[in-house]
Amino acid sequence: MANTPLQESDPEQVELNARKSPNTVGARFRRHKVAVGSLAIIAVLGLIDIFAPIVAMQDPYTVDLDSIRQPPSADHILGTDSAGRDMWARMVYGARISMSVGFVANVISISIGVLIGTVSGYVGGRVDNILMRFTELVMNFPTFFAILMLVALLGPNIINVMVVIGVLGWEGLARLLRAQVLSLREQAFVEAARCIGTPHYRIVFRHILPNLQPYILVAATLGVAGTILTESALSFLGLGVQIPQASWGSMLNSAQSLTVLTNSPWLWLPPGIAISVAVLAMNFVGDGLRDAFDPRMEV
Amino acid sequence: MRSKAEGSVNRREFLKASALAAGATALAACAPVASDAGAGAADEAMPEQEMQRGNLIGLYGGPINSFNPLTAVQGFQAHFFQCVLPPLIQQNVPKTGFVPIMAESWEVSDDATQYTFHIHPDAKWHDGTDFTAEDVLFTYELYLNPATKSRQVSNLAMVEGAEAYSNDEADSVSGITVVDEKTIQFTTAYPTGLFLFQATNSILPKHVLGDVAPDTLENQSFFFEDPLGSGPFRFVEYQTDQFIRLEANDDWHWGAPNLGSYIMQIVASPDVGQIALERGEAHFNAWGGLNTSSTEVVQSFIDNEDFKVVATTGVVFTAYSFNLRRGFFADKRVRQAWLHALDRKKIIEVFQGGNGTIYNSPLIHGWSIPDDLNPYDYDADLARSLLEEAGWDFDQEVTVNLITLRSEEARAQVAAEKQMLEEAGFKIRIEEMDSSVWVERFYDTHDFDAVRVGFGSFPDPDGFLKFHLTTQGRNANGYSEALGGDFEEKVIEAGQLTDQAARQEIYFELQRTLNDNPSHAPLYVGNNVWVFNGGVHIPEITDQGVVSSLSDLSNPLPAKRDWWTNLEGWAFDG
Repeated sequence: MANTPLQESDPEQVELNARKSPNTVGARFRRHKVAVGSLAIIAVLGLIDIFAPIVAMQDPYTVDLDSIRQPPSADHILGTDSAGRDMWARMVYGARISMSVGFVANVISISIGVLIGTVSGYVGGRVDNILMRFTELVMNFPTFFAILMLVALLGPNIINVMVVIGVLGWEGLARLLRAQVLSLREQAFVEAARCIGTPHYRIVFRHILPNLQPYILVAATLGVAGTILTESALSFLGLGVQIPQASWGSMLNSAQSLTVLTNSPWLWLPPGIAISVAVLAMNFVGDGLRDAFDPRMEV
Repeated sequence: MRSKAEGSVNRREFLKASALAAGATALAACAPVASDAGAGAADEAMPEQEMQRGNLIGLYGGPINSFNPLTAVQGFQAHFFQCVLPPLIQQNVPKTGFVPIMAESWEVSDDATQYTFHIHPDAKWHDGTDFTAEDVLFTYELYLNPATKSRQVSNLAMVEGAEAYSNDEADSVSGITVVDEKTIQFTTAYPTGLFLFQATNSILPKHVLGDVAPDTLENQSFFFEDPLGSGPFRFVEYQTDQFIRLEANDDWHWGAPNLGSYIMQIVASPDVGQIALERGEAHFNAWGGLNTSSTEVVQSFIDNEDFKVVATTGVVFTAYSFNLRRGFFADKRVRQAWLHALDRKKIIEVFQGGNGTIYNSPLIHGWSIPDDLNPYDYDADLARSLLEEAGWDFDQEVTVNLITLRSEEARAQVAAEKQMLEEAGFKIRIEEMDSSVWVERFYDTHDFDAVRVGFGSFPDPDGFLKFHLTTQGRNANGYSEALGGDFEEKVIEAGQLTDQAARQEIYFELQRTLNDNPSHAPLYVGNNVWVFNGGVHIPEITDQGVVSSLSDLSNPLPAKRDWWTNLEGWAFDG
């Protein structure tokens, strides 16, 4: 049933073919315009993080008690905070903190999730049973309050926040991956590998894990967004970064005062917008990746 | 399917986080409604006559722990006890003596060991039962019984036979005698000028609680739902975490209160309190309930003709406290440098809206402060040269422990102080921690370099000295050991003297020591700022005491008595 010249000359069919091919993950992702735009935003945020000292222009920690809560001006493009520190510089360094919490916490939770999900699904039996019951146990914690409590006990600093969010955020991924591994290990190519005596670790690393990659990538992007929000909420409640550091959430904290809320919008609008934009962008990229990896989602 | 599952987890998380962020707003939005409902219900239930006498509503910034005076720690509780469960006598302000409350008069023997209190002949419980010396004996035995979780056991140890009773070695306290129905006598184990402070504890009704086992006392409904009192106001109802409604006790033995009723209105956030005051739904900030450290808030009430703003001397003293067990703090010039490094005037001006009084030693009782103390003016260069003289290692990092600060304002202030200290050459690391961890490190394990905290007040310098600076108390700083000499003996001696002039002489000397060889770097004492509805009349507050600009806040009114000890004298025509 090869394409006939007649069909090729059909303009609709030509367009369809052009849209469908090349039908690779990258191409499908690129067709998701919002996701591409979001990726660009994340890239810009990444660059800002890396080049923070240059982008910030001023020191984010220098207190100037003679110019507190100044509205935006040429000297301070986003104004100054309650200690006269430059808001733009704090926003830029805040991005560093918020984004690095997002990434580090996710690396932790994905590592745990992949380990538990894969072992549980591949080994099966009693190990699977124990690991899954444990997963459900952790899943049943009211996560945010567990995080609140642990951070309060361990002391609020950025490392603790990263670790605690990471350690309590892997259950969803672990369950998802276990289900995938369960079906993968029954597939013919795994069966074949087993038959020729391939050791288990090699089966896992060569045949199973690469097939889990799409799920992990999607979970990672969506997870980073969730983590940024969690960190913001913690910092908003005063349990995030250490003095004198800033994260977007801790900057938003000043909006808890009625007078700041009404009189000094430059203290809370920029971090609020930044959180929204970063989280939305992450979510769109996650959506785009999900659609791209799943050909059935096409159209 | 799976992708959807991922998406939904994410959304849930999103919801959780945004719900939390919105939580504060939601609370703020709900609370005025609650306050409306509370005040409204109280209004309806009130007889007309009471309306004419005034229904005063005070703001409280958090829920009350319980109505249990044995375990009480809150200022909120102190207000409640003054109104409903008053003590025999009460300290006056500016803390130069005492005034009778349930007692009519008292006598002290010449050797300052015997204290006889004559209970007011007309003193009655709110159910009509006579208030007697038996009630006092019963209550003080409870204060001395550790099974009640009493916080007063160590304070009352000066009473003869108290320790034996507390340790369960005696059935009664030999130093407390019921002379007759209306007379009770306390005997101390040694002469002391400090006993009267211990007669300011609330008295509980024996005829209600007499049969309760001491170890089950703290769970009695008396302390949560239906307290029976003897004070100028009687308890009517408590809507948990919303309001407490008190009604005037017209049989009060010092004369019926002017007010018809008093409502203690609990608000979820200071912003809610501000709105309630502005709308006339509450009449003053009694205990928290208004962000008086915000310049904008205070200024808005100063500018509003419907309100009177009054400042009175504060009691919370914010300071850095040094651990003298750390070798790097051994040289006093290092600690002097710390004081010179802090521009305290600027800090008060910028972060406290000008509302703060600077002290130069940790003892803040006016009468104990000589006028020749080093004022430690801000001088970063002097601080640096003092550090150099002391051979300070400029790479030495000093960790300052804080109880987690929840507001960005407070964090900004600490960041500013850190910068000032670093400009003088210190290397500061700020470490925030949960209050339980902080308390353990500071008071128990002494595992800290320095802390920064607001210290509560003691009625007399003796309390602070013994508790913080000697081995008699928690000895957090290790001060008396590091200092050596006769510092601790002097503290003990001053506590046992009854001659006020002689005590003052010793405290002057101790103050000079603490000023020159600092245990603390005091920042300021924040004065209390009160915002009253114009309809509230308080005998102690004349127009001279009313603040007309922010700069007046640093000259607090020398209040004659803490306001809540005299609520029966207030009137309200709102």
